[in-house]
Amino acid sequence: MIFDIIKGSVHDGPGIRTTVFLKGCPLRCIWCHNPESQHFEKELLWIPDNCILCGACIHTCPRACHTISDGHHQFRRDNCIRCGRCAEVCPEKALRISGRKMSIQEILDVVLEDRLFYEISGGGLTLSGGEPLAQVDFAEALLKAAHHQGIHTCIETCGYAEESVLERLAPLTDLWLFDFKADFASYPSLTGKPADIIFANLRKLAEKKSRIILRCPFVPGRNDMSVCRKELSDLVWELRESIQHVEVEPYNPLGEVKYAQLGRKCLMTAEKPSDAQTARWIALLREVLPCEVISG
Amino acid sequence: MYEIIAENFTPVLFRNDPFFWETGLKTAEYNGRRELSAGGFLMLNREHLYREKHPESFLEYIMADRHALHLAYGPFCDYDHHCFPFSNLLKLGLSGILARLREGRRKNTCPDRDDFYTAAEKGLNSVQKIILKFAQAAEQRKNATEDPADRTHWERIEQTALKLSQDPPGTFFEGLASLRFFYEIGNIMDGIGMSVLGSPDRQLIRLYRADLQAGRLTREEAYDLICRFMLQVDCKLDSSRPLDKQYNAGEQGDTLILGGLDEAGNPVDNELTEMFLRAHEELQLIYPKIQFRTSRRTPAELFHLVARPYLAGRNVIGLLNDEVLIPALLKNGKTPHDASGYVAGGCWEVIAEGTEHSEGANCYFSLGRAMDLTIHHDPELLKELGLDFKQPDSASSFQEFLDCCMDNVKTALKKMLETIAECGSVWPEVNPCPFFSACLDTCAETGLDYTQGGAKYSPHSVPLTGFAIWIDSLESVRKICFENREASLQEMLTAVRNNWKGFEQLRKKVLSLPHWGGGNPAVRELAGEILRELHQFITSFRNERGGPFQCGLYSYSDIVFWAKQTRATPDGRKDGDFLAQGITPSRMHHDSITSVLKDAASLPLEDFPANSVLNLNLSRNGLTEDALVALLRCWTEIKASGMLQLNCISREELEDADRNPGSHEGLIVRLYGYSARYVTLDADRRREFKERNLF
Ligand code: SF4
Ligand code: SF4
Repeated sequence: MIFDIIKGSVHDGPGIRTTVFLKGCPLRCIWCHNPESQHFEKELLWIPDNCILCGACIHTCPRACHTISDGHHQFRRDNCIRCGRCAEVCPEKALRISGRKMSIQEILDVVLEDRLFYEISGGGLTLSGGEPLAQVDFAEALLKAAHHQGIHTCIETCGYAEESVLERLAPLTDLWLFDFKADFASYPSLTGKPADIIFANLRKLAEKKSRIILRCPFVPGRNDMSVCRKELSDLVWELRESIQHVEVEPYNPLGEVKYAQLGRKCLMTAEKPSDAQTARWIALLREVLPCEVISG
Repeated sequence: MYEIIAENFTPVLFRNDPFFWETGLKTAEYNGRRELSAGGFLMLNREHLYREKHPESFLEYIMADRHALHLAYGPFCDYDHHCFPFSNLLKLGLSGILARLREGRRKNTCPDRDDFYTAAEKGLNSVQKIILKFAQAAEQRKNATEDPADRTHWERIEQTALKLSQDPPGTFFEGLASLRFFYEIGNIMDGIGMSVLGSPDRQLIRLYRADLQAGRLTREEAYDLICRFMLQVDCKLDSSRPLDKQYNAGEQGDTLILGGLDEAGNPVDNELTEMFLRAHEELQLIYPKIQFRTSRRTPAELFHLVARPYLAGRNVIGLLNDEVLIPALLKNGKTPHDASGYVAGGCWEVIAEGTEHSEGANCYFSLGRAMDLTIHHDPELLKELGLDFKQPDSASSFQEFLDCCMDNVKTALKKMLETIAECGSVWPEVNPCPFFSACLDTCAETGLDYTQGGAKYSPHSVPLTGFAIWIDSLESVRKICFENREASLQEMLTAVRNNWKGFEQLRKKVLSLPHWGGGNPAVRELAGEILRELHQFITSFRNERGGPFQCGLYSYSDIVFWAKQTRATPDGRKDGDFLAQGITPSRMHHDSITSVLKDAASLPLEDFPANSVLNLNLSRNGLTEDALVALLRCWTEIKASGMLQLNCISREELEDADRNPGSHEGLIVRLYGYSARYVTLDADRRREFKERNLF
């Protein structure tokens, strides 16, 4: 199950890439800006501001989830079976289904369309999510197919998986974009999972001489404490043979509205850090890290 | 006129500016009008000649501008966006140009050419007189001071002016002084606007290296001169004021061309290219507008230098693609030497430097409005425009619908091209340019002003805009009405004529169809066929000078203002929605960069030597320098357009800039061939910018 494919991405690894977003993630980072990627099943997003009250959804819904009265559109999510019919007819994208099944071949066909761009730019395929490690069979098959075609591969991961998953995927992955989200003690409260499995996995990858870029979300007040900087520094020094560089990703509040669209509670709201704030944090990291730190 | 200017102008010199150029005639040059672009005073004073000679054609042509069908800038001939023929001057000097003119006169046997020779010679003599007045003024300033540094400064201006009054420049400093002075003098003498400040890396490298070798100049001194050369161009404008309070709404030509290939296909970039780029970045300049020419041989370091300002929120550099433009110029009759020396005028008007004028911004033609006028039955308006359009209602096949649309667009183009040829032939009387012409190649031999076709090349560009509307509308009718038969043509026409009100489902279907930029082979094929047909049609006409019409794909801020008059179209666009620039896909679809680039690269762009422009706005969030360089390489190598108008921005930053303008003074965005501070833009321009697709 994927929730998106983005071709021509210049934001997910080197060169121009096709990024395949797999749906479902075991973590629940409080700052997650893609909440529609978290669940493993399809979900319906409802964006009332886009609704022009045309009534098309009312007639197609088999569960009578939509009603319009007095110029107001009511949506009863508890009745919804996420069949997607209403989203198909909505002319204004007020309803949208997140999640669709695609075969390896279908995805590969899309990926191969941009081969020329990978060749010129040093790009390739990136698996992102959600969490690609959570759909290991699918990820393995797709990476194999891509390698078979001579296409460079990346995995963007939170690192939470059984060791055997990494054993299977490491030989097929040319570059890991591995998250460092917070200091170890804060992992459970900020992401919903403990850090030990995650960083044991990171060390495993380093042992295998995998190439790794560490990606660090920057959420002021949450993960920019000195302990965080210290632990990141220790880790990068320890694994400096494998870690190519560190990318700092400032928190993006654009995802906050999506929680409401999914009928879920947003776990955190904050402003986007200013460029100056991000630059300061990068400067602080540069003081202690033995590798390049860039804004990602 | 030349003699009056030379007699009466005042040389103005500045203590901290090593160059001399200010004649105090700026207001006269602009005829006292703030909103006029470079040049124009003769045109404004003598435009009545057009009206008197061809009153009916004049009126209909102007009406087409007023009704957003095509531009009427000039109104029949472009009076600015020119490039002074620097390379000829750098080779021959004024005395050489004069000698060439006299030689031409000696050999010329046509008595009716005498006026041209006489006027051109007076023009050249007057320019020599103007330079000597600068020399004199500098000498006076020198004699009035005891300060050794001051004396050196004035002495250098004096000596340089004396030299340039006769000879070509012999040092790097003199080379820069020539570019600066002749750019300005070109604007003043003939009333037409110069937009290009030169291609200094290719034109001055020999002088720079010779200076270094002879110990006359250090790298640091050269860098300082480059900074001062550019700084005084930028500080002409107070770009922090709201746009409507700035001179010419903040837009100046002042274009500097860097990089690119030579006639043998070798890259010309050198240490000067790098120094100009670095200085522009270090000084945080907007002007001069840098147009950087890329090719598959552009070194990585230069791509990185070009990429860096974008990532800092300074979207100030234009990108020209030699892989597209040089073959297009060659195919359209330019020699390898002339094609490889091309420059882009004000925004993107491609000119063969030294051998032709600019005619790139006079008549943008809106395919979007042509589609609107085909669909919306509006006999009154058509009558005002003098156009007889066919009605598409009775088409019983897609071919018939297509033929109707193409016939209509050709009717409108024919009218425009014939009017330009008819009325434009008055241009030599409105605005003859003997001085400028004498500096161009071949006018001295032909004895004809460029306005009469005396230059080596005499093209007139026809830039098309609203391309995505045209293609997507045709595809929409093809699929919905004739292939899938989801609605009849009549229903479709009714929906569009009602601005889609009550037809939301049909519009949704239209928006989900294959479209331009979406990577669909059938759409690509249609787009290619249409461009080939339009190219063939347009180039079958001859222009006002007897030269060819050449095609382009771009427009200016018309994508904002014409949009207001352009009604709904079958591509799903509603009344008033903005147009897309050049070959940029519609704003209603969000495709990948790669499918946009591949679609663009599939077009027969070699038939569009006037330029073909693509807009891309990239999200700055998470964008690294390496990734941006990779993208620029791809755009160049797959030949996706002649020009890329790139922005790297973040939506949040734009929203915050709307709320807190004071904190975003440094955010500069690329608009329509030029860059401006975002916070100075008016509401329309901001909305247009924000509504561009973000990749
Ligand atoms: S997804 Fe299906 S069940 Fe849910 S609201 Fe839409 S049509 Fe009804
Ligand atoms: S189909 Fe979409 S626009 Fe129409 S009423 Fe339903 S949600 Fe609103």
